[in-house]
Amino acid sequence: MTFLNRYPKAAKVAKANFIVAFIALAIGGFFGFVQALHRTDVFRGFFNSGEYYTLLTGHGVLLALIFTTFFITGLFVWGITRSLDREPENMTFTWSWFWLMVIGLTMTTVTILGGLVPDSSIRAAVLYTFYPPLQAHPAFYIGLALVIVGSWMAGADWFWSYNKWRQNHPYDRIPILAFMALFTMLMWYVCTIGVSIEVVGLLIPWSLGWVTEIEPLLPRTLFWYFGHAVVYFWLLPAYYVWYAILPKLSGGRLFSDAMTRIVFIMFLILSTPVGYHHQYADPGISVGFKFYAMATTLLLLLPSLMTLFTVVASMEHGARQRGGKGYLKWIGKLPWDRPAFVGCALAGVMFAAGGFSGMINASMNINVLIHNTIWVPGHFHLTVGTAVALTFMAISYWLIPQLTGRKLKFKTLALIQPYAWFLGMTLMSNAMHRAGLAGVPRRTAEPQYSGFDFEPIFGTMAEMQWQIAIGGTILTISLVLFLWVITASWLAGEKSEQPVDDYIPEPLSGVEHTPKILDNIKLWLSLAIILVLLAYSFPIWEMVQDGIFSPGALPRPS
Amino acid sequence: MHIHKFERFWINLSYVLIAFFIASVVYGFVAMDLKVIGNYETIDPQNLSETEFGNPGVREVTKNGQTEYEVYVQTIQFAFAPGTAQPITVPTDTRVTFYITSPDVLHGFDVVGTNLNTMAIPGQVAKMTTIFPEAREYGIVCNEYCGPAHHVMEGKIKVVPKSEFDKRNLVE
Amino acid sequence: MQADNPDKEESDRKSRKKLVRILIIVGIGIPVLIELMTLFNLINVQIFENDEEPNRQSWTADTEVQKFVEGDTLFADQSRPLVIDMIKARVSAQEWRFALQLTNPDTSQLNPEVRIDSLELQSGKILDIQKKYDWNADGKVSSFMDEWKLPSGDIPVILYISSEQPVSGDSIQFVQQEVRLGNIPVRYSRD
Repeated sequence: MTFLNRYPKAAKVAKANFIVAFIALAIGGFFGFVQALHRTDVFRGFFNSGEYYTLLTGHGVLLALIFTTFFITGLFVWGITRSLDREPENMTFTWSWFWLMVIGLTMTTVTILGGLVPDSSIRAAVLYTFYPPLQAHPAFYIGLALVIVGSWMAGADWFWSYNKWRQNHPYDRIPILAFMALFTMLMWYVCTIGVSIEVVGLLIPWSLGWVTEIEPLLPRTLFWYFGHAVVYFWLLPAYYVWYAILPKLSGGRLFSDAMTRIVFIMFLILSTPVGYHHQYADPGISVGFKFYAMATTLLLLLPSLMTLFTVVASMEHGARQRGGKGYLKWIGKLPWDRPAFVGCALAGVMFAAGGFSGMINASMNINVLIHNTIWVPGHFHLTVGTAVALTFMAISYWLIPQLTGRKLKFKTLALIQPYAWFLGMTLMSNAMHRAGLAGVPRRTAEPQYSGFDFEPIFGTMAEMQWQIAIGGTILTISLVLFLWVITASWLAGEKSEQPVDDYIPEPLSGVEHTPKILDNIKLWLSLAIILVLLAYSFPIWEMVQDGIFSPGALPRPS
Repeated sequence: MHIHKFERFWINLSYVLIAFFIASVVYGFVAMDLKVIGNYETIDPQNLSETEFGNPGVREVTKNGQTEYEVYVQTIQFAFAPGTAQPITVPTDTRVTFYITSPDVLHGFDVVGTNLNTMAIPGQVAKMTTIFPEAREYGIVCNEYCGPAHHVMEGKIKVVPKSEFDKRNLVE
Repeated sequence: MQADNPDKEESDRKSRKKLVRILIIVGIGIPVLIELMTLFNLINVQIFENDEEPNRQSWTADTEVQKFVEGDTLFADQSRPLVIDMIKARVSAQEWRFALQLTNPDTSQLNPEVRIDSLELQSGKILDIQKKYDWNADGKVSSFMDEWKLPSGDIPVILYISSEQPVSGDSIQFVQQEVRLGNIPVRYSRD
């Protein structure tokens, strides 16, 4: 009996979400491959440099907004259903949020791909951050709004299940798998307020022509109100996997239930007020607010560092159960021949590196050296590009069989895939960080300039460009391996009643040691809202004082 | 609540790391004069010609008895004005203040290899002051996506020795 | 499946172990090596940072070859020179265009017949144009302008242009000039 047999309706919805996620991953990943060859001048024959920005928009939106969101909704459908032991309350409602999100993503994707059609007026080469006054077709913004509304409905679906479960279990602690999902969604609700105001209140009316002028600093600020917390929306599901499933894959148990809850609470409270650290280089925001954002950002290191401890401790426990001894030798006893474990473990290692480069980004005046250089993509390909994406791919090897009732095929390819990702990403991201230190810009189709030369600290520009191209190619190969394995397993894997061992043991320090206050949803949500108001109300009030749309600039079609 | 002693140690270490980072930033601000862009003033991006931005170039001012220079730069699709058609020429060892804004879309103004790196936002003026220590040339790159020819947008700053600085090229 | 002989299982396990070993050496070992090398180089540079000018090349490149910009004269050594009145790239989301306006500076002379042969672009592509401009017909026109569509993202670096010039005696013939272009202004255009 696996998940598919126990909860067939939830399995169907989860699978639908994963299908969308994997298609987005394939297209977005292909665009990334083209970019890696194009901007390094290794091969520019796929598209021209004007079209590059359409590809870049597609890469960002399809991977960072669509692949992530749909994978997360699929994962949480699985997690909530399993941990509360209930199918969704109303399948019509559940399917309607799924389809609403699909309609939205289709609208947005069509406008983006329109940029590849010559002489098309349906374009959205505005990049995943869609800063005005560069303007996309209205359907781009409307589509994004629909995706967000759909995600709100998904969260409501899961709180509905929780409320129903609570009626049957008035004194129980919130099961940990449900707790993590619900707190992630609470954080999502808090942070999407900003981007929804931006998209619905400002950008849609502006793109439809109801207003002509727009003041760029306000929408940008509202975007970054959302923009930092969104990375935690992606990261927390990866933590979800590392906390809940990785210990079992390592052969052990989660180290501490209480610490897990504390970490998620900290993310709920601190994720959103830090948005200004993406705007250190913006004129119009005073240094005082930037300093407040910096301090809160660096505090946000704490739950991640705590996660590092818990995850390693849980893995060590697992390794020792398998016979590992010594200070470090136990690492060898971990299941390095199991694709799901390898992907999660390597993703965790890479996240540590990404976290450190993130600390540089957070440090206000130090950041200015690498602001908008290719250092920044170097950083986030380690975090969302590996910690999140590789974890998602790796856990698919464990999760999809439970939803399809079929075993994994091509296990050898599945094993090679995460190692290849780790290698490719190190090559690419290492070169991106180094090139960024030399000042090479990000988001640029041809970062080769005629009037001056970049001066890397060591090495040459040509060598770094090749490293990026080769790394990107290896990543693409790894992606192809993943898609191949998943598709083949989904369609033709050997049917089985128990395709994977899906038993998850109880934590070492269990829920009986967890203070009850950690389950107080209302308390933590209120605290989160208060901190957001403290961070944003005064600066935004300052910005709108002279008019929401002024000083205004005119739109520029993208 | 039970917290394992290793975990307690690790959390304390994390606090130290966080404090160290905040201290580094503050030190940079206070002792090394490494600042970030702040809130200077707003401006109407559709009427820049009526402001100092309408007369692009380097101008000389006197502040506190010292000679300083101001450079008003417009970032446009797809050039720096000044900076692209002719380089921005300034002397060494003198305070130079850049005022940067945009009449159209978001741009970046990054003096490559330095921390003179700011956004140019329509409606806002970015003000940053520096002293160039040596005579050399710097490239300026637009590092915020600004449209289809974003990658063509570049400029140049020429820093010349104070003695060789030609004041005939200044604007009023 | 139960009839698998234990030897095959054993060799499967051995080859799997071998694969894992290779994967760890290549997939984890090489990245560790790259990062250590980076760290080593960074520390090296930091310690020996007094040797400045690490990778800077001199800026003397290309000063021997003249680069033409707005205001320059083409066919300057010929009898019928032309002045570049306007040269720019006009870029919109839908297309990139190259615009050129040429003027006859000496109105006492006839306008030479001009042929725009081709443009060499930054990517190396050649844009064949082969268009003649017979601007004598009007008699009063002293300048002409044209625009050509460029592949999006590409900028011309060399212009091949021919104009009718008198050579020895009474004959006239087309003389071609290879015009290396300086920085062409690139501007947003609303059409």
